Amino acid sequence: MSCDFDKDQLRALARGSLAVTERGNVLAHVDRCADCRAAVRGAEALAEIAARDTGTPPVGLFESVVEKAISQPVRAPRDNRFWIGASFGAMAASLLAVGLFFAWTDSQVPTASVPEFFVSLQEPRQMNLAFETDRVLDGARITILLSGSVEIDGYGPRRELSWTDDLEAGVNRLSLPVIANGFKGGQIVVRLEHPQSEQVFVVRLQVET
Amino acid sequence: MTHDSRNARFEALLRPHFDALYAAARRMTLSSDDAEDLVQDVALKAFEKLDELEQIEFPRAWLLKVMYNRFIDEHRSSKRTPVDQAATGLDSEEPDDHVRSHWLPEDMFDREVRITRILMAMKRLDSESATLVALRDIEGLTIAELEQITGSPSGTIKAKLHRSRTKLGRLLSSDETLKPELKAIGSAE
Repeated sequence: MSCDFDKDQLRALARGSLAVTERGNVLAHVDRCADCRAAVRGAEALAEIAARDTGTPPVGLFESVVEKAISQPVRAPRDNRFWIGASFGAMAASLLAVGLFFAWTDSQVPTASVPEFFVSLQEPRQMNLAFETDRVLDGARITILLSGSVEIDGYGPRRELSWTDDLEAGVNRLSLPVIANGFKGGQIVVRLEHPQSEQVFVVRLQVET
Repeated sequence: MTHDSRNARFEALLRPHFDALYAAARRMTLSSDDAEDLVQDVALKAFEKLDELEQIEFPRAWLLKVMYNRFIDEHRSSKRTPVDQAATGLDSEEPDDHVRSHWLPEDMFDREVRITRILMAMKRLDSESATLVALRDIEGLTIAELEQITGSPSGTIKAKLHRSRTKLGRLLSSDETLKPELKAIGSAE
C-alpha cells in the first residue's frame, strides 16, 4: 500500500476545511483508493471527538489537583499498575491469569479444577486470561460464551462474542471487564481456535456478596 | 530551593494548561469523575518532572501526551463505558433503570454510541499511534509540536498519522471494535 496522495488534503476533507476547488479531485481519489478512504473515515471520527463540548473544570478542581500533586511528590512506579491493581478485582484477575496460563506447544488442556472469579454487581472487574504461544498465530478465532447473571461490560446482554485475532509469540493477555447483573453467578467459556490447535477455558463466576 | 517556591512554580506551570487538560480528559472519558482522575494523574506526573517540564518549549503538548498515554494504556475497558453514561444521563449518580433507555433523545444516544465506538477503536491502536493521532487530530497540536515531543522528523510523523487514521477508519468500518482487548505482554523465550 503506498499511495502518495497528499495526506493533508485527506485530513482537510475530513475536517471540512478543503477548498471547494480541490474537493472534486480529492473525492475522486478517495473513491478509488481504499487506504485513503479509510484514512478519511478515521480522520472524520477524530474530528467528531474533537468537536465535543466538554465544558469547563468545576470550581476548585485546579486547587484540589495541585494540592494533591504537591502532597504526594513521590509515587510508586505505575507501569505495572495493571498487574498490581488497586482493587480486589484486579488482584483476583492477576491470580486467575496465572491459573490459566498454558503453553501452546503443550496440547493438553490444564487439568486443574475449574477456576473461580468473583464479580460484583457494582462495578466491572477485569478478568485477565493469558495465552502463551511460542510462535505468532495469525487469524486465531476467539469465542466467548456467557451464561448466568453476568455480562461483559460494554456489550450489553450479548451472550456470545466471536472474533478473529492475531496472537504474538509470547504471552497475550485477553482482558474482559465482567459485571454481575444478578446474584446467581454464571460461567464463561473462552474458546481459542487455530488450525494448529484448539483450547477451551471455563471459568466459574461467583457474585461477591 | 524551598518547597513553597517549587509548589508555586508548579502551579504557575500548570494553570495556563489546566482547562485544556480537563477538556481533553472529558472528551476521552465522557465522565467528570474519570476525567478528574485522569487530570490528577497528569498533574502528579508533571510535579515529578517539574524541572524537566520547565525546560520544554511546548509544555501543553507534553502534558497532553502524558494524558493520552495514560488514557490509552490504563483506561482500557474502564469502569464505565460512554454508552453507560449516555444511557443513564451523563453523570447521573443513581441511574434509574426505568429511565435508562429513554433519558436521551435518540439522536443524542446514537451520537454517544458512535463516540463509544470511536474511543474503543482508538484503544485498539498501539499506544504511540493512538496518542500521536489524538494529539494532532483531537487536540490540534502542530507538526512542529509533535516533532519536539516525539523527537521524530515531520515526514515520519505524517506517515504515522496517516497509518493511524487508516487503521482507525478500517476498525470503524468493521465490527472490529467489538473485540475485547487482546494484547501481547511478553516475549517468547
